[in-house]
Amino acid sequence: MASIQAIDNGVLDLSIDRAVQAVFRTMIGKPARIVPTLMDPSNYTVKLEQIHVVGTAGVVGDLTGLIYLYFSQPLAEYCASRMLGLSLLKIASTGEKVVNEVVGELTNMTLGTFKNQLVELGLPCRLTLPTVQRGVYVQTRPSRAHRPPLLPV
Amino acid sequence: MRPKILLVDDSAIVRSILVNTLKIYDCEIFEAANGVEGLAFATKECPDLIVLDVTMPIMDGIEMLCKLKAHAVLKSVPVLMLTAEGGRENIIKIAKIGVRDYMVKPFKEDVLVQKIGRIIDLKSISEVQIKPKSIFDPAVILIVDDKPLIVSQIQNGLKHTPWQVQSVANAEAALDFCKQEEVDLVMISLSLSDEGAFTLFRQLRSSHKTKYTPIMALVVKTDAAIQQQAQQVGFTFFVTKPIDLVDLEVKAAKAMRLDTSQRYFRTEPDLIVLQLPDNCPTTLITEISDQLKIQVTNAVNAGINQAVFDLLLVRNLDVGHIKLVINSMQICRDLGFEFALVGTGKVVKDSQGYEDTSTWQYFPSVAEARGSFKKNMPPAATEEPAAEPMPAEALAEPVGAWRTSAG
Repeated sequence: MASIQAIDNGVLDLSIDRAVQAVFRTMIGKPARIVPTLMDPSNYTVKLEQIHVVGTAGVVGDLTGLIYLYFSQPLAEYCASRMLGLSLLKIASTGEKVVNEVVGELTNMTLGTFKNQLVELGLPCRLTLPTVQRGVYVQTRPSRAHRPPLLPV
Repeated sequence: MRPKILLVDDSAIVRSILVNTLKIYDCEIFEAANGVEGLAFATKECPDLIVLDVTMPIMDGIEMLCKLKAHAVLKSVPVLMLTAEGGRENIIKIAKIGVRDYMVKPFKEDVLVQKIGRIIDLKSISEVQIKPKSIFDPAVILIVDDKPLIVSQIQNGLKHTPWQVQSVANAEAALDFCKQEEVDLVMISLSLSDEGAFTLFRQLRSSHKTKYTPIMALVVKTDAAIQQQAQQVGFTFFVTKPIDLVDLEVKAAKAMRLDTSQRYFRTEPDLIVLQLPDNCPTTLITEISDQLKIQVTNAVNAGINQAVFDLLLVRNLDVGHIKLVINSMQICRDLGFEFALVGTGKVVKDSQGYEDTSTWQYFPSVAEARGSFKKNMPPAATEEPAAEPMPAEALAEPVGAWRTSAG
């Protein structure tokens, strides 16, 4: 617990930023930037009004938590197209499964890269398996965490 | 021989990226979604390289790696670890078990290719001229069996092929032979004393020269335990004793990856002809059906949409032939092909004896079958040929008369 208190939000933000940058640059071939907040600060709720594909994975160990990657449907399809070398038309015709798997893999890689930085910072932890959800109204209501969700664009 | 690469990753996306990256190289790729599948493929195919993910369900990469290192043959297969979890401790842990290299996800495809290229000889497809060997090409087959009767049975059974069938009676002589000659296929009797067959298998697999040579097992049909053991070790195919020579030939051709299509198919300017063999065991039905799909697809690409099933070599129509013809008809229907049957009087008569085939109508020759196809008509949707099949009275005619009329 002492080590968790020793790390400040700025370091975490930087680690997450680096992870997102590294994964998107390497796998998608495009830079990404983090949108600071989609969260309603009054109730820590993220509410989206269009179809999103949301990848979730967690770290468990000296630092425990979940990270959500929110992809709008077009962004998710674009990422799938770039990663698999297929046209957007082809991706659209293959259905949701492929796009979901791509989001799951990107989430896994992002969390893996983030976790590796935590380990370097002296916070050993393990990854959980990623899950993917999609929907028009995706609400995330954190119970205790005060971290804003991330949206790579 | 093309290098074999086994990709073991639970993510279909990562496997797909790897396959896309490697498809321009002359290599054979196998995919597995977890350690259990990976071990099964590794045992069967003995790959030159395994690209192995760490975190997987059922059996993870670390466990699979440990099992590989404990395996007599597979322990020497180089492993490139692919992991989302980097970190010094993880890498050291993996390195201690024994990996050739590792990559942390996310990864650049070109870096992966560089790493693979340092482990195996990776050549681009354009550098390599691939001409598959045909069933009519010569090949050397070595039989390792101390029973002269079995050896002569196989040699006689394969006499009509261009294959040179040699034999030795024990493992030592087999190893000597393989050192001196280029062998395309080894058939080992599992009844060699002191588990000699398994020892020989391992020795052949660990030799650079015979690492990729297909190895078949000759085994008594009822000996299930030894068959299972041989399967686990990685024998390519099994031939059971008493030996069905047609089955043996089909499996030998398959093990040597020979193109057998020329034996059963010929393409004429306006149609393709499938010539059914006299004997048609299950293995052959599967093989010909698989080839037919490719042949018909190629024919469609070439603008051909007619097929003739030629049963003139068939002396007695049996269930095997019927299954094959029914399969073939279905494939043709699926692709909108017109088709017609050609057969002897005996086949016509046999046909009438089965419920499923009693309505089949035959032409006496390919030329007459060709004439029956109506030009510029849409493909027929029925099993029956389009026009004027063999008249009923022809049933009384001798087979030779029809053969004479063949164009």
